[in-house]
Amino acid sequence: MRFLVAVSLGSVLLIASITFPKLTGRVVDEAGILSPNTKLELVKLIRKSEKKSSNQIVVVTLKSLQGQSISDYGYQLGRHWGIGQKGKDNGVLLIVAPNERKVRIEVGYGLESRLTDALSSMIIHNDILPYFKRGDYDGGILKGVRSIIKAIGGTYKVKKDKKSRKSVSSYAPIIFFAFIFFIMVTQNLIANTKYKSYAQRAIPASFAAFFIYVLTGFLIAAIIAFIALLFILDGVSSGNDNTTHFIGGGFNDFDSGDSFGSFGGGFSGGGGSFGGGGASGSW
Amino acid sequence: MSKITNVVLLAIVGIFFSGCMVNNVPTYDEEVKAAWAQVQNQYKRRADLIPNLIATVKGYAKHEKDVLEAVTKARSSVAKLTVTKDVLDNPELFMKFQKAQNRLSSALSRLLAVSERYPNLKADKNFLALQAQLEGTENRIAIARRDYIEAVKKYNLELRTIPNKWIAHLLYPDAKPKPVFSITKEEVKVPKVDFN
Repeated sequence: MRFLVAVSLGSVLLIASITFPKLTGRVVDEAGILSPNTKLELVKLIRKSEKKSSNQIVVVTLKSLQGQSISDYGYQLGRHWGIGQKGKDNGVLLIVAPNERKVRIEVGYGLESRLTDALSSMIIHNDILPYFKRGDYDGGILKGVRSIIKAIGGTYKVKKDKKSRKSVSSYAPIIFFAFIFFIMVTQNLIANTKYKSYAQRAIPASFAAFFIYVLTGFLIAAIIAFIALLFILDGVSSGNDNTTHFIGGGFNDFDSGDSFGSFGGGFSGGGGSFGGGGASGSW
Repeated sequence: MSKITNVVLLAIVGIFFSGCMVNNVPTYDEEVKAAWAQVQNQYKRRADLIPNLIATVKGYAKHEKDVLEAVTKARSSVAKLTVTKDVLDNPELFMKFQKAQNRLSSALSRLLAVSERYPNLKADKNFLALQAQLEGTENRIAIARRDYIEAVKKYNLELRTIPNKWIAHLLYPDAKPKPVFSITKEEVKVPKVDFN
């Protein structure tokens, strides 16, 4: 048993120790085998298809596979970058490792039914490898990307983010600020009544409640904590330095957790995942 | 408001603060189950490919009876194992399952090796497609297994490290560490490094 644990830990370490190139755009030419014209052409092709279907395609050329097989490297790279949209997992990687003479089409979960293993293999063997054998990386990659786009075209229609797909926590800041607003209004209303002290406690209590909500994800826990704090706190004055600092931190933290692929100027993965679909080839 | 109620209320707040930890065991448990479901899916996918593969190979390589039979046999022994969720709580059954699958893996790789000898078979479109699918499925199995090992590692660590262990012990006395795959020799092999 101990041996098994050691082996599994070892394999985890092995996985953790490989490095990935930076996702600088839709074409990441780490190996430097593509001409500038091809790169432009590829980006144009891919962007057009992405606009239509939200499928993310990334072409990457690697200097080295770092001792991994291309299929092992590929799915980890895909997951690392998060190519494809979250929940749809509609990303495709075309990976070329010229030094190892290996090529792979790595297909995200969501596209496996369109771009099947068999089709990926056909694209590699019929469209890409004939060019690569002649040393024409530009031609092979262009043709390969065209075939990939054809295969996955129209799988998904682009929709504006549906509200229902957002998790509850996406609404947290809105709820939070609405709440603060509500408290400020009521505070003015009851400022001179006997409930005054509760109103004063409400603001720190709601900060704490929000914090608890973000930490635990339980709205009920936050509400209970809020009510509890209303009674416990002893007339803390609102609006001191600590609390204002708190808003900034909490909100930023929250903001960074919520990442969707951007379609604007920059390019980033949308959080898609990979499970080993696709095919490899060598020449 | 008396001091005692204050303390009680603070304790309640404290428990909710640690709410994330309280939920770790069931959360990780679900993750392990999901990862395991994925492993089973991929194994099933492989088993589903086999009848087609055998039919295709038979068309070109009738005399390779032994190899074909070995695959058929291994497949049926895999199919016979009714694997339910509780296989994860039963290391013996888990071992059995794994052994049966490994046998099928080696029978299949022998079949593919044999088929190298038949140029007509290798040129068959159907066979090429099946081969690609099989390769893809083996790759998926490897990844699903790795993901499963990762999920189990996280879960087992939760049950074995302090202070999570105490919470787990208190709230989930039934939770037991889960089995992992023993990795075959082939998988332990250090990746080949090409110095050229």
